[in-house]
Amino acid sequence: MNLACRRMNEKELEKEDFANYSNLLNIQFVEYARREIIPNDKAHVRFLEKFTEMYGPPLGGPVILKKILNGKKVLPSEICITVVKKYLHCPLISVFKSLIKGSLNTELVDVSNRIVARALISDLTIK
Amino acid sequence: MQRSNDHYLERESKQDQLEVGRFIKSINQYLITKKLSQRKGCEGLEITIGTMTKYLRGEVNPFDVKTRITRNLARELGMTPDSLYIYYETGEYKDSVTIQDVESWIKSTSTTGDLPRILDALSQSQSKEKPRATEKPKATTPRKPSAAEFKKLGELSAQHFADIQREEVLSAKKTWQLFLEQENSKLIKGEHLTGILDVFRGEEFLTLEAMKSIGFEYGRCPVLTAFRTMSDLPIKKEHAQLVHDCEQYIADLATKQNKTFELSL
Repeated sequence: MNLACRRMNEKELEKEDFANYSNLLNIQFVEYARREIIPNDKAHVRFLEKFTEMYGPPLGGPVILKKILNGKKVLPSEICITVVKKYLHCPLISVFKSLIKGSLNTELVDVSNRIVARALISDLTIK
Repeated sequence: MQRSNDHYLERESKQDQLEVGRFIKSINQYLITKKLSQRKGCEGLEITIGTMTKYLRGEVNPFDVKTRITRNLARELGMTPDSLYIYYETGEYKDSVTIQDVESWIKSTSTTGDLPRILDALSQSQSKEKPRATEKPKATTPRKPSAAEFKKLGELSAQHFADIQREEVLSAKKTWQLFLEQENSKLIKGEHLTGILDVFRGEEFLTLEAMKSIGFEYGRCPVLTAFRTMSDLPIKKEHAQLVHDCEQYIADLATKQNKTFELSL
C-alpha cells in the first residue's frame, strides 16, 4: 500500500461517510427490487434470508437492517465497524453480490472499500 | 325432420364461412390500405400476433370477436362498427349513414382528436339554419377524480399487470420484459418507465400529476396501450371506469392547453 493510500485509509470514519454509504446501499437495494419486479418488502425478505444463510442473524436485528436498506436509517457506525472487523469485509456487499447477477454500483463498491479499510484500523469511536 | 335439420345446419355453416371470409377480407383491406405488416397491424387493432394469425387463418367468426377489436378495425377502415357488422352479414357496405350511425360512432369510436372536426361540422350546419331562441350552452367539464381514485387506478393497473402474468403464465420479470417489448413502450422515457414499474411493484401511488405528465408527453396512456397489445386479457369493469374518468379529465386539461390526449377506452 503506498503512503498516500495508507494516509487516506487512516483518516477516521465520520458520520457523513456512513450516511453516504447508507444512501448508496439504499439505491442498490431499490435497484435490486426493481430488477426482480418485486415490492421492497419482498426484496428485504430475500435479502435477509440470504444474509442469514451466509452470516447468521444480522447484528442489531432484521428491523434495523430493513430500515437501512429502505433508506430510513443510517448504518450505525458501531455495527459496521464490529462486523467489518469480524469478517474483514462488509457482509452487505457480499449479500448483494450473491443476489445480483452482474456488477454492483461502482460507487457503492468504492465507498465500501474505503469504509472497510478505515473500519479495520478504527478504535470504534466516531467523531 | 332430420332432413330439414341438416339443411338448416348446412345453411348455417355456409353463412359462417361467408362471414369468416368477409372478416379476413376486411383485415387484409386494412393491412393493404395502411401498408402494414401483420405485426404492425396488430397495434392498430390492439391484438397480439397470435390472435391476428388465428383471424387470418379463418379460425374465428367475426361475431365472436371482442367489440373493442371490431371497433378498432372499423375505425381503421373509416366506418362505423355497425356498417362493418352489416358487411360481415350481407357482404355489402351500407352506403347511407343514419343519425344513429353518427351517434353510435361518436359514442364508440371517436376520440378527443376528432372533437374539433365534429364541432366545426356542427357549427357549419348550424349557421345554415335560422337562429333560434338563444340558449346558453352548458359547460361539460369532466369531474376531477380525487387523489384516492388516481391511487386506486394505479393499484388496479398493478393488479392487471399481475393478472397478465397469471394469464400468460409468465414470471414478473418476463412480463415486464414483454411490456418493454411493445412498440408503444419503446417510446417511453427511462424515468417514466421507472415510475410505472414502481407503481406495478406497489411502491408508488399513481397521482394526477404523474398521469398528466405522462399523458401529455405521449398523447395517450402508454400503460393501457401496452396492456392491450401484450395480452388479450380484458380490463375489469372498475378499472375501465376509473381509466375513463381519469382520462376524460386529463383530455380536458390537454384540450385547454392545446395539447392532444387520446382516450384509451
